[in-house]
Amino acid sequence: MPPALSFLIVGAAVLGAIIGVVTYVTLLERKFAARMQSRIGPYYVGWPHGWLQPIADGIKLMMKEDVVPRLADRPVYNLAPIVFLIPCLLIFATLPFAPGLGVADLNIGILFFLAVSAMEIVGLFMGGWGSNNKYALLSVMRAVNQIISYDLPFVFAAMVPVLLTGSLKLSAIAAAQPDVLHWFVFYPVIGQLAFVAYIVAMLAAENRVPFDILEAESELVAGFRVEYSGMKFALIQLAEYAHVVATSFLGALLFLGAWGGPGAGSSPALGALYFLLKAMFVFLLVTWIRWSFVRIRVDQILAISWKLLLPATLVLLMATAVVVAWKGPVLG
Amino acid sequence: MARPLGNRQLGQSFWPDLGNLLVAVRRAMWITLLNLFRKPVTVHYPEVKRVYPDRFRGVLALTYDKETGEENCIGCRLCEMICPPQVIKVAMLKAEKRNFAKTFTLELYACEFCELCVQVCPTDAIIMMKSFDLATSDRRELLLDKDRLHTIGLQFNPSWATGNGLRDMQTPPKAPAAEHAKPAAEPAKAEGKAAKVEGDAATLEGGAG
Repeated sequence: MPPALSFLIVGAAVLGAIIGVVTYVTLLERKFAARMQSRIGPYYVGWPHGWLQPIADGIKLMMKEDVVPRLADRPVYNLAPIVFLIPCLLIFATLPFAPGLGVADLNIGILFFLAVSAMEIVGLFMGGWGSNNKYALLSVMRAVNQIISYDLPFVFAAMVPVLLTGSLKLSAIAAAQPDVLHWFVFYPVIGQLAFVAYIVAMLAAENRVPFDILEAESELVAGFRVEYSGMKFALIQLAEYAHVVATSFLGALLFLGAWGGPGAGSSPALGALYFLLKAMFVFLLVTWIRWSFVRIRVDQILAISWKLLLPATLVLLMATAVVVAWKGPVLG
Repeated sequence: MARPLGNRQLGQSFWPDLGNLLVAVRRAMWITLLNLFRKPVTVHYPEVKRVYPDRFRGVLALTYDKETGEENCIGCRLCEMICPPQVIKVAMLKAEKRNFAKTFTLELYACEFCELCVQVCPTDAIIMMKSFDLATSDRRELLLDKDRLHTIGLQFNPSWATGNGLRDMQTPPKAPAAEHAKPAAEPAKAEGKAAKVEGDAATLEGGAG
């Protein structure tokens, strides 16, 4: 088989799997959120506990009318969901889901991940600008403000495991955490602080509650996607959830030992399952935070980023560098 | 120097704020975690129905006399007078032994379910039923006339409250053995009311005597 064809097949398979997982992650979040409020969540579509609900939602969104505002900047407006979706799906390309199971295990995998993940802001801004709506415009201005502020602490927190292993390759970082005791979240002091910083920066970079000022329902209706409907709205939702899931996978890889687990050494499929479960743990952690907090003000968000998180992660990174220089990197 | 975090107010300065924030984070996440392991309160409504409370204020209805089958309404218009949103309209029909309501209309779409009409009714003719299934696709269906009100009365379970029942409940109990002369006249005056009051009064008297 020519390599181009095999890449195509692997890419299509991973893309399909991602879209399936992301669709069902919405059901997971709704169920989890419901239980946190003593409800039961989706129940009637599909027998045990509404398991067909995401599919019903997808069909509903496909059949909806596609409305374009009369004064919208049409090319920009129509292109925005795609420009937003592509980076969010592209970041899955470098993720190894098990040893040797992934699309492209680059030498600079984490750099690629962080750089491409920061590109989503372009699609976001196109959507808000192209809609020609003041709520959408306000929303994306806040979004740019916030995402740029939080990308730095996010990158610094993600750099801590990179420094510890001395490699930008994601599979090498995963290989450096062979068992539970070597997970970077259990690395004394540095690991826990970096994990907390990663989760907080992740919340802000994904615009999740308590940092969701850009889609603050009470102020901005639905934020930058207020004018979108039908399939374009579905693409935007898909992109947002894909981004959250990808960042959860990265968090599980950097701090929770990726595919490590009992019996995973011999069976890649079991390793992939462990990885998925760990990523869902990170996702549920984020969801738990989402349903526990109220929204933070704009100035508080910026203060947390520039006054606390950025200096703290910088100091942490320097401390990690000192530790690595003293004890040498953790090698897999 | 660490300052005490007893004062739970944000907006002082950065570090105390941060400390308070962390305390708040712990509390908020603990509450949602507890909820996660609690049984959901959801009732699967159309399949499982909650037990209605006894004093449920639902859709209004007119009643029949259980023995004679005559309607209870005497067309006295008390409910029309007391109705705050003025949705009840009654026309009286004079007859020999007692009066009747010639027409009785109730505009349920404007009703505020305050139960005042039930409370003033001297003959327990208008009552509330244990039902809130009032949704309809045509507003005119909520303009209830006498026939529909009678039908509703047979359709659902009546709520506990009736005019006389409420008045009995709210009658202050008589001071035991306060005056000797009056109690004889008192039951006669309350003739129109339910016999229960007299019975109670009699037992009270008996106990006192």
